[in-house]
Amino acid sequence: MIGYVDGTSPLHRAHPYTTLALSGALLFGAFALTRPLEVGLLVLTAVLFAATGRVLRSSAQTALLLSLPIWILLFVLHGLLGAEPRMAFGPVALSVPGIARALVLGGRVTAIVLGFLTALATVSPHRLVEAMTADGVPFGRTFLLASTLTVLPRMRERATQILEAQQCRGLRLGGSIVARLRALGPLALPLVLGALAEVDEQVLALDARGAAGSARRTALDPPPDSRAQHALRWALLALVAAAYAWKFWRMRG
Amino acid sequence: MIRPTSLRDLVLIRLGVAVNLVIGQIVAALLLPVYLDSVGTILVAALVGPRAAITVGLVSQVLNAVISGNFSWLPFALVQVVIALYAAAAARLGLFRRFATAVPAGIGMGLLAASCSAPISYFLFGGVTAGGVTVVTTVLRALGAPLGVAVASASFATDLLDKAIACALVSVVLRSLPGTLAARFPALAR
Amino acid sequence: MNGCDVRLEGVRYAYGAREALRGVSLRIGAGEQVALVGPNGAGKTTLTRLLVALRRPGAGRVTVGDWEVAHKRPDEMAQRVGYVFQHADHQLFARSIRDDVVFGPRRLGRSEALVPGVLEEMGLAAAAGLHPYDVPAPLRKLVALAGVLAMEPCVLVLDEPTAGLDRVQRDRVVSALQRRAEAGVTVLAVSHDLGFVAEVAARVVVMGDGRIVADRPARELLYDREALAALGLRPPPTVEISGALGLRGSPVRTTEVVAVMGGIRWKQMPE
Repeated sequence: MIGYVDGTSPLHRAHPYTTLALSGALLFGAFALTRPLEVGLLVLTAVLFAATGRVLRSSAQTALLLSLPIWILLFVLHGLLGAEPRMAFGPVALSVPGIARALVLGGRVTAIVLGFLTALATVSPHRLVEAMTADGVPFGRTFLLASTLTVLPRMRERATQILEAQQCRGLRLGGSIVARLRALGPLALPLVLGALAEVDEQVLALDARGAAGSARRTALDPPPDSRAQHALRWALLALVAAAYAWKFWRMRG
Repeated sequence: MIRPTSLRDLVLIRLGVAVNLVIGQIVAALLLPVYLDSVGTILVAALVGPRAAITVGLVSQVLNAVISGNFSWLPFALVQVVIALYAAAAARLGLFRRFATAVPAGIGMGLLAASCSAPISYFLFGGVTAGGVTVVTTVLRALGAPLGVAVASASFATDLLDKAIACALVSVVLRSLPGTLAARFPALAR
Repeated sequence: MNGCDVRLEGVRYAYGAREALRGVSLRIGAGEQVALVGPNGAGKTTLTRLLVALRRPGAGRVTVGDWEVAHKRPDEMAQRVGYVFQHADHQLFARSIRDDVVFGPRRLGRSEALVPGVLEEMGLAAAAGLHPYDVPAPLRKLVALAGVLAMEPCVLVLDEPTAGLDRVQRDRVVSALQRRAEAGVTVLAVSHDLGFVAEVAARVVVMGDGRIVADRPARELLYDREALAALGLRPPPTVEISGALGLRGSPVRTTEVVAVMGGIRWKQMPE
């Protein structure tokens, strides 16, 4: 499952920035770690993170599902087709450095996905918008993120309808590659032209709601922050920086 | 260059993001071997300018991650920035006005995008990235090509095709704009 | 005009776990005009999508003339069935209204000879050279309808064709459909607009919860105040007037009401 799940875990109660900083640290930290053991610890951290949010089961399930194809491809690309030396593993000979590499790369992806799924499940969009508003983030940015998500389903529906309507006017979706490329016009043009034709209408509607005002808005219900959380976020930044410093120092050595 | 983003630009940015994320539905229905997920970025670059286009690219990348759950692709956001800048420059040179110039411009964009995405794919992900590209990589690798070469050729092949078609499509869109709409985009007149 | 009757036999369709059609059987004769009414979510649009192969029934059979719809693609069905979408204004893409109307006939390999006449019928002759997105959305809807009429379908399926149109535009749709009816085209229209239904349909099929709950002549159902009230609908103005005046022969179309009223010698009416 992808998306916010209501709850009362420490991550739910934390300031949205803190939870996001934790998943961000997982993302950036992941690329600093290069050995299987380190990446193993990273995955463990991600698991602990999800468990703290009490969303381990659903998040881990989705994360595994999402990273499964990557694991399979990594196994083929590096394990089967990787460099020497090889190790007999049942009927196949697997590349030893290849398997190590696949473990590192796959572990990274799984940890990152698990971290962000956890953040997605525990950061309430409403609280995030409130926190950003309280922070003085301009309306434009919050508007973009919030409203694009609401526009997408409508746009998808429209794309489906255009696909159906043009078929009913005799447009075939299959055929030669040239025919299919030519079909892009009747299908993509109405989607884009229709959306562009509505732009001015939407601007007027938003303008009427006072969206353009540059005045700073007041957050009605800003999520509480604390010194400890503030310190934690800085510590995470320092940790990630240290991880990269260590990585580059080791690469030189 | 630095000016507050107008409400209209915001709505257009939102439109560009939506096009980036939804066009895949049409591409999938036609079973085309491309993504075209930067059509919105290129379109906004031509209609509004580089700053708005970069925003479209970055927001698309983040939303794509939020929707699909595949957060590990976030480093590819860098490619989106490059595409936005290139597209804005190409639009300024009037390359989207004709098919004959839009397609080569797209090939150039593909070269540039692949030069950015191939190293990311190689160093950060060991060659495993979004679906189709990886399959090509794996086949090349199985045929005996070194990993670096396999990743690069796969990225270049898909990116060239993808960006050439995307630029051609944007060129068609720009030429199909009704007069009343076109008049509202001063960037087009240049 | 043979080969254009429409049959559904025991048709079922489900969106995942939600059953949209729970065993629908319906026969529409060639050249018959039928309106499909019912509350939102009753399965009306789903039913019409089955006729053009945009949806495949989970069970049952759909045929249009001697064509088994299950064996056809939507673009093949377009040879026989013209489908006008509710938001038809979203499908235009050509640089002029004329070019957009020509698209369908060209795809089907048919003559474009009908195009000027159809544009005229929709009141678009003067606007034919304009860009479709330079005209208001309701006119774009007429452009889309013109595009389907120009394909010369022998079955016309319309989903809420009058929604969003003004009186003059609606009248154009009505007369275009009446003309097609005279020419023997089979018409199936989904509509909440009973005034429109009264003008174009001889038979009304009522759907509710994925089933057909009533199938009656328009002349009968439109006078059945209770049945309409159960659907949250009221009789169309023509029926209200002729009911109030006690006109004979249950007229439902404007022309019929006018004809009956024209025959009355008003001066001799009792005070």
